[in-house]
Amino acid sequence: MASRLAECYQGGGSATVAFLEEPQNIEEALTCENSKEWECAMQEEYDFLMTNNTWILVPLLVSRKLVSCKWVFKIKQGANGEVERYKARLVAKGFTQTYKVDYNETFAPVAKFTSIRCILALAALEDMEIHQMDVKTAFLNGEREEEIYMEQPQGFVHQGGEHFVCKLHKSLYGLKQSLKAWNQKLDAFLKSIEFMKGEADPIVYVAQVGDVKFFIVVYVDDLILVCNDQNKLL
Amino acid sequence: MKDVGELHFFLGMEVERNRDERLLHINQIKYLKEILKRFRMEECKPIGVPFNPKEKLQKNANGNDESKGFPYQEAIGSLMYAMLCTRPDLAYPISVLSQHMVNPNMEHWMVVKQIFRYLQGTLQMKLQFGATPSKEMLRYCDADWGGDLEDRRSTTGFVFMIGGGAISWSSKRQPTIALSTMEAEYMDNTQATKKAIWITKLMMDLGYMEDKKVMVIRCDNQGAISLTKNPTHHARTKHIDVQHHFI
Repeated sequence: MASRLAECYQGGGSATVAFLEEPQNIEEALTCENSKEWECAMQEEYDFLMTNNTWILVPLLVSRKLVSCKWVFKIKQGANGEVERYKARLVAKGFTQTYKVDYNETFAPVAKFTSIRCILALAALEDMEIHQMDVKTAFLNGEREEEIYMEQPQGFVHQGGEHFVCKLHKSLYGLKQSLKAWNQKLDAFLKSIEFMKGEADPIVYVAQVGDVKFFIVVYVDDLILVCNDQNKLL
Repeated sequence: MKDVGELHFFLGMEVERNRDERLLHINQIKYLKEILKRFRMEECKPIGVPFNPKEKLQKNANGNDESKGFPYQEAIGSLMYAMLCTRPDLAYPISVLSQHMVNPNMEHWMVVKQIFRYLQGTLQMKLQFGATPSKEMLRYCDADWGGDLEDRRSTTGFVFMIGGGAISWSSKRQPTIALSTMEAEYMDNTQATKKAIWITKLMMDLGYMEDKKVMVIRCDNQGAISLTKNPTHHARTKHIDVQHHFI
């Protein structure tokens, strides 16, 4: 394995491209030459979901159509095309959800480009600090409102509990309401730390403490934080 | 949640700052290079204009679907993202080309290629904020008259700027036919006013109030200006729609 990697670093070009093929499904991942890495990545994601209390296993009592899910595999590459890490993600198949049963509202606002440029322009004029913030696994933080039952993920079916299903507590990638759930969570958090929602663009948040102003613009899981005092950054 | 330091990249836009001179630039060089490559235009020869305004694009008359040969919709979509983020100069050509999404022919595709060539020549262009140290917003609007040869509707355009940089722009074909240039400009004023009100609200949210109580929109048509000031009815204006008296 190590020698293959080394070879690919030195070989560059086409060799790298051929080497970096991503498996399309779990069978491919577990049979291809990097199966060890993929297995690791899946275990990592699964462990995270478990510690995050994403779901509990329950026997299915009512007759409900289950939401299905699948594994998605991705190789994260660095700036020079080297392999940074192998990543596996469990996504729900949102299209198998039924309206009024598995989801109701799905709308969530994103920032308008005009608002972003407006704030950047003001920041330039006032020489404010502009920082970027990043939220790790943003969608997994959202809390679900509806009761959703999902089938157990491939490869991690509970031994002896094959007839059990996952009752979701948190959002998962791919669910129709994930974005909204995340947005509500973030909204509640920002309000708890004294940020006010803008009236014109509901995704621009403003806070003022004395002479210190803070603006936050949210674009899904990317945040821009603008502040006129370097020392007061959160 | 974690702070990853100063803002450099956001949604494909690169942000550069010059703190000493209080300048901020946003560009999309990386994104533009990517789309040039995707549409195999990375080695095209640059030209100076994206679109010749005298050139009037017609509907694909013979009805043959020639779009199979080229990715027209994809190209427009990619260009549109650039236009929305940092390229007000593409607003007009994109709005014209988007009117031919359904049934494009070779002529339309040549214009798309022309835009790519223009981008090749202007890759390095950036939006600059902070050059004029005033927080007052400048608003300009203009309209052509009967520019669409098929249905004679006019095209509306406006740009709003803060600190010497454009923050909002639009180029749009008007929904109804204007009977005079004054009418076209008057409708244009309405569109611009609507947007201006929204942006003023946004600025108020952010704690910036303008000193003046009125909004200034700069318009170059005397007739439209006097109608705005004194919307009296007379023979030539009485048909103007209620909607346009908004201002």
